[in-house]
Amino acid sequence: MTAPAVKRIAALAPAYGILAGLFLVPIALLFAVSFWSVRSFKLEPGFSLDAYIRTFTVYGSLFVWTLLMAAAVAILCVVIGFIFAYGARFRVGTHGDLFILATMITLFGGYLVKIYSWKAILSSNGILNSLLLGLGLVDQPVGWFIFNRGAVIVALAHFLLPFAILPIYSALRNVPDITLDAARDLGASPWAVLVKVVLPQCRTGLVAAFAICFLSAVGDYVTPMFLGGGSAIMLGQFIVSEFSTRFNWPSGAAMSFSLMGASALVIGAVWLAFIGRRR
Amino acid sequence: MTDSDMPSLAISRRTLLAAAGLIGISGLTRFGAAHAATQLTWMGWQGYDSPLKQGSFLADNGIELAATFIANNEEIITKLQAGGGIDLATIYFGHVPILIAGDLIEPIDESKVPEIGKVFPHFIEVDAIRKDGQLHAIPFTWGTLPMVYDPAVITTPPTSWSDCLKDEYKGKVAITDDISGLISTWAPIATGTRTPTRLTPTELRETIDLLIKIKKEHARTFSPDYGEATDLFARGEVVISAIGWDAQVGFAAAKGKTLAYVLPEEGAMAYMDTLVIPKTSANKELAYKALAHAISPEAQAVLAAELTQAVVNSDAVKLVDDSNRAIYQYDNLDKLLERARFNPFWPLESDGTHATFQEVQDEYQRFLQA
Repeated sequence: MTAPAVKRIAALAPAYGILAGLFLVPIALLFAVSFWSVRSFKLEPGFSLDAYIRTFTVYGSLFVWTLLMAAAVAILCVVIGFIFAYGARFRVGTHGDLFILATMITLFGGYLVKIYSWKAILSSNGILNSLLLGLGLVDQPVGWFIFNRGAVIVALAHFLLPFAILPIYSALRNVPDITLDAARDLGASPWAVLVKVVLPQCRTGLVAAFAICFLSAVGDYVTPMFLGGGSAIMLGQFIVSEFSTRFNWPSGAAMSFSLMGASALVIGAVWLAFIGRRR
Repeated sequence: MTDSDMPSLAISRRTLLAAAGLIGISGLTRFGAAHAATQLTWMGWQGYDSPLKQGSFLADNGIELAATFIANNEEIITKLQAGGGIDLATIYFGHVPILIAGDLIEPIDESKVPEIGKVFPHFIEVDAIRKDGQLHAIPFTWGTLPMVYDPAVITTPPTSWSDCLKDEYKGKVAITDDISGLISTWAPIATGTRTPTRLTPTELRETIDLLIKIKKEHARTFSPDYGEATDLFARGEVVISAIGWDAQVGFAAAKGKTLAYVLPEEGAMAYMDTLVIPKTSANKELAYKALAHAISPEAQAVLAAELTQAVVNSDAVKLVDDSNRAIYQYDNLDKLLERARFNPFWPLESDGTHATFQEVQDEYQRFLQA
């Protein structure tokens, strides 16, 4: 092995070491545990598919609902994120970066603060109901603003929106103005410019935004716990309880890997639909 | 600076080095002293460590307290099964038989717990914390899971758990994620049983069906914990509970909301958290000292003042405030604990008749998903 090659390997070793030690090895161990069983709060090594069977028999419909809710959050984030990023890139001149900085500032508030803020907004005596009552639009507080899937989706989308805006804005910055000018000069309508010139050139950013938001939402368990009200539940809540309260690590691990696999399939399908086949 | 200045500089440097050396040595000594303290590892709910920190107990005994907070009691079982590393833990009394069966905790040497005679007999005599008469856990705090209601809206105190199912309270009922509390409270109503932790699979299913009906048709929402449920009362979103915690009255008072509780005629669940010393404890003598301190009147008073918890030491009652005495009715424990009962834990292994803890958890998942 040549000296430069040794140096290169030595330079990369810490990074691979951290990746392997903190990510790959724990994941591999957890994957192994997903085939074990548990008895009287004790793990028993072995090979059993019971935990995976349990995932789909006990949590089947919840599994699907979780994927659907995460997809709704991701789509909402991508649509709103695109509108915002498009405005920042093409409509506000040199102030675009300032707009992006403003979205980053919203992250400083923290995750739980946003959840409690939405509780303050949507609850029966919250800001929204107070406003509606004050304007005389309703006679009594509206109860369905909170403790349902809509509230969970809205709060998650609000939290994840900056993570969608960033990659989309980054992709839009790579769209040269000259291609837009060329399209317009050739007679393209604003809609045609958007659909045939802008969107194709930023689709990588759109898919990245979808993936980030989808993955963050699909594993969330705090937002549905506080805003879902027991009906808008997500699989993450039950993964937590399988690991902690029930000490059923095999079941929790199987649920986690099943969700990871399903998420990979969803993102792979989105990638294939919007990027893969066009290359 | 000239050469002639050098000697003085040299002296000065020597002095400086000597001083630095002294400082270093003194620092090292202090460092050594700080680390001469013995680390005592404790595991339990956040806040339950406050009594251990009361007064100068830790400093006087050279203890450096390392606290590990739990999100649920089962974490303690998991930790001890995995090998321990814990000197002292506070755990729900219902889990003590699991720890005893797993040979995970020490039998208590009562001679090392001087205040044990001051613990109310109602708690020290609970069967679950003993094996063959030998004490394996020491009561730390207790409470009841009564019906909590808003007296500003409900002026006549409810008398039955079924009162929360009246039409007038539809959508204004608080219900909290508490597997033991919910099933223990509603199994007697759904099935007529006297021992709600000994249910046949059919009785368990009937209880869960009733709970699902309450959750879907009567509850405002399903609260993840009692703090959230108290917030619902404070915001006026609920007025009555299908499961409550006496401490909620104190929590609500801190938010400026007056709540009341009642033990309905069907009875309610009593709970107790206990102190246990794991077999793997590396500092058993210190653990005993900490355990003894945790049930001392002064330490118990901290528990009452900071967490609105109930005390177990009869001498601590005079140290708690009036609101705590009003909530826990220490002078009336006999009557209180007639209605609020300590239930045995669910069977861990099948006896052919009753649902096991595993089956109870499975059914509870059905309730959570409904």
